[in-house]
Amino acid sequence: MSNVETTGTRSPSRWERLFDRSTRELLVGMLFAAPYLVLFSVFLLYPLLKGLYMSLHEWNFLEPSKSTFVGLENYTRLLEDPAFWNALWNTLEFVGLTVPLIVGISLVLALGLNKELVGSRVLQFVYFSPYVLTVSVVGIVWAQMFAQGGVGTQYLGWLFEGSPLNSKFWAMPAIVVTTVWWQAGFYFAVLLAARQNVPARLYEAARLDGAGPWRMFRDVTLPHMKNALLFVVIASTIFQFQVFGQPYLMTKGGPVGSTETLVYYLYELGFQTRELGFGAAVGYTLLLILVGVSMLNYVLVGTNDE
Amino acid sequence: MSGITIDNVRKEYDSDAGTIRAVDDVSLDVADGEFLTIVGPSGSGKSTLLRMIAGLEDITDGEIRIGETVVNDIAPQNRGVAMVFQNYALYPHMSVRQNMSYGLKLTTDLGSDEIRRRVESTAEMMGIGDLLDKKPNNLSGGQQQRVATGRAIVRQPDVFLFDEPLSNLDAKLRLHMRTELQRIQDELDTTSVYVTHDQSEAMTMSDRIVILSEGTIQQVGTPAEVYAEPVNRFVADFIGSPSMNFFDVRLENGVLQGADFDYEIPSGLASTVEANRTAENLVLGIRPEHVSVDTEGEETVTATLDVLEHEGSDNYLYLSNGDTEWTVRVDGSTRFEWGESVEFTLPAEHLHVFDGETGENLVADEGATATTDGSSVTASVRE
Repeated sequence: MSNVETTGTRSPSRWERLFDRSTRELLVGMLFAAPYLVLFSVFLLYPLLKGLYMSLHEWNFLEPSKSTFVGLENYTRLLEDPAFWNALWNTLEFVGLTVPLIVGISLVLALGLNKELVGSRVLQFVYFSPYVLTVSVVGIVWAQMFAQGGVGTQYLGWLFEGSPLNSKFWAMPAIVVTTVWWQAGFYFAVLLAARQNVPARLYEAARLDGAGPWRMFRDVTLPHMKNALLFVVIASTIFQFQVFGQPYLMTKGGPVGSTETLVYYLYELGFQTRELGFGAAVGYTLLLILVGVSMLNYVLVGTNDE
Repeated sequence: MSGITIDNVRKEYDSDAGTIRAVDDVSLDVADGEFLTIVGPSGSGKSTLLRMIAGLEDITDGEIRIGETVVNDIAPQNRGVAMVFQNYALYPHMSVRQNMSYGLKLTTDLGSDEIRRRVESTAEMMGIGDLLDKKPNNLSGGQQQRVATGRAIVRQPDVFLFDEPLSNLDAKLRLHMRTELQRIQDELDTTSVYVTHDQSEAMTMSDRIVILSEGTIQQVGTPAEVYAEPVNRFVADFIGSPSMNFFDVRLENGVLQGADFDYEIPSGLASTVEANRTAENLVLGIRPEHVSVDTEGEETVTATLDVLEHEGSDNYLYLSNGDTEWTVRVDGSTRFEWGESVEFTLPAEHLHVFDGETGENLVADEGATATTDGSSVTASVRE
C-alpha cells in the first residue's frame, strides 16, 4: 500500500466564504499595489495636479487661499516673455549639443571596450566613475577647471580669452563638456551591456555572408542595439531638458542669460521672484515639451517590432 | 564543387592553465560530393575543426585546402563555403527573403531579379516559399532551420558546413529534418561536413563518419565500419545505442575470465589477442543487440532480469549476475518476466576484445568479422 497520506476536503475559511475567487485575487492584487499607489499619489500625482491648478492662478505665496484664477493667462504671458524664449532656446541648444555627444561618445566607447583587451575592465570603470559623482561636485570641479587660470582654461587658452564661463559664446559649450564628461559613462554602461548581448554567431554568419566591419555594424550591431539606443536618446534627452545644477553652479545662468535654461528660469520665478503660478506654467510647458520629445523619438527611431 | 583536404591541422588556445590543444594533428580527406560527419562528445574539437574549415578560427599549424586552393589565409566569405549554425544565426530584423539574399548581395554581382529568382526557387525547394516576408521570430524552430539551410543553399557554395543544425529541434522534427537534409544533399551533390554529438544522426546521414576525442581522430569509416569494427574502446562505446557492454577480463589458455564468468574463445581469436596485447588486463565488448537469447544447444551465461523496458519493436533487458551487469536487446515479441533467469550466448563474430592499457580493439579485423564460421563462444558462469 502506498504510504502517501491523503487530505480530506476542508471547509472554506471566512475569507473564502465572503468573497469569490476572482474578487479575492483582485483584493490581494490591490493590496500589493497599494504601497506604491500611495507613494505615487502623494509624491507624483498630487504635485502634478497641484502644479496644473497653480498654473491657472496668480498664486499667492503667503496665503494660497487668496490666489486668483486667471485661466490661461500665465501661458499666454509665457509666450510673450522674451526671458522664456531665451531659456527655451538655451535649453534646446544645450540638449542639441549634449545628447548627440553623449550618444556618440558612449556608443564609440561601448563598441571599443567590448573587446577583451588588456586594461579594458579598468577603462570601463574609469569611464563609468564620473557618473557616481553628484552634480555639485561635478559643477564645482569643472567651474574651477574653467575658471581664470584653471587647468581647462590653460589648455584651451588658444580658443578664448580668460575663462570660457565668462564668454557669452563659450559658456554653454563649457557646460556641455562638463555634462558629457559627467554622464556619458552611464549611457556607455547601458550600451556596452546591449553590445554584449549581440549573439557572436550573427557576426560569424555575417562574415560568411561577406559582410565587412561597416556592414556588420549596420546590419548586425545597430539593429540589435536599437532599443538600447532608443532608451539612451530618450532618457538623456529628458534628463538634459531638466538641466539646472550645472548652470546654477558654474555660471548662475550668465553671462547675460546665455546659460539660463528652462528649469533655471523656473527656479528664478519660483524662488526669487515668487511668481509661483507663472513658474508652474513654465513647468507644465516643459512637461508638454518632454512628452512631445518622447513621442517624436518613438516615431523617428521606431518601436521594437521583433 | 570541391573536396576538402586537411593536413596535420592543429589548433591551440592560450589560457590561464597553459596551452590547450583543441585539435591535435588532424589529417583528413573529404571527397567531392561526400557527406562526412564529425562526431564526438562535448569538447572533442569537432566544432573547432569545422570552424577552421569555415575560416572562423585561425589555424595554429597545418594546412586546409578546398579543391586545390590552400585556404589558411583566405577570408571566410572567399572560401566558397556556407554554414548552417546550431542556433540558425538568422538576422532577426530581416525578413526571410532578406536573410537569404544577404550573402548573394554582398558576395556576387548578380542583379536583383536573379537574386529574387534564386531565393524564391530555393525557398520552394525548402518548403518555405510562403514565409519569405516573415521575420525569423515569427517562425517555428523547424521553419527557422529550413531558412538557415536555405540561406546556405542559395549561395550555391562548394562546401556546406553544418554545426549541429538539428540539435535545437524536438525529436520528431529532428528525424524529419535528417531525411530532408539527406534529400537536399543527394539533390545538390555538394561536399558537406556535418558536426554533431548525436551518433544516431551520424550513423543515418553520412557517407563516412569521423569520430573525434580530445582533438584527435579516433576512427574514420563508413557507418557500417565504425559500428562493426570500432578500432578502440572509445569508438565502440560512442557508436551504438544503447552502448556496448564492457567487461574487464583476462585471457588464460584461450579462456577469457571475467569477474563472474569465463569464456572460451576460438583459438584464432585468442592468438590474435595474444599477439596484439600490451597488457594482462583486457576488456571484452559486445553490443546489446548481438547478445543472443536463442540458446538451443549452446553453453550459456545465465543472469537475472532486473529491469525490462518495452520499446515497441524491441525489448531491452537489464540483467545481472554477481556484480556484472548486462544490457541485451531482444525482439519486441520476446517475453520475459522480472526476476526471471535468462540464458544467453555471445556470438564470437560479434565479440570485441580491447587492450586494457591502450584501449585498442585487438580483434578489430578479426573478432567482428574474422570468425566467419559463425561459431559461438563457449561460455560458462563462474561458480
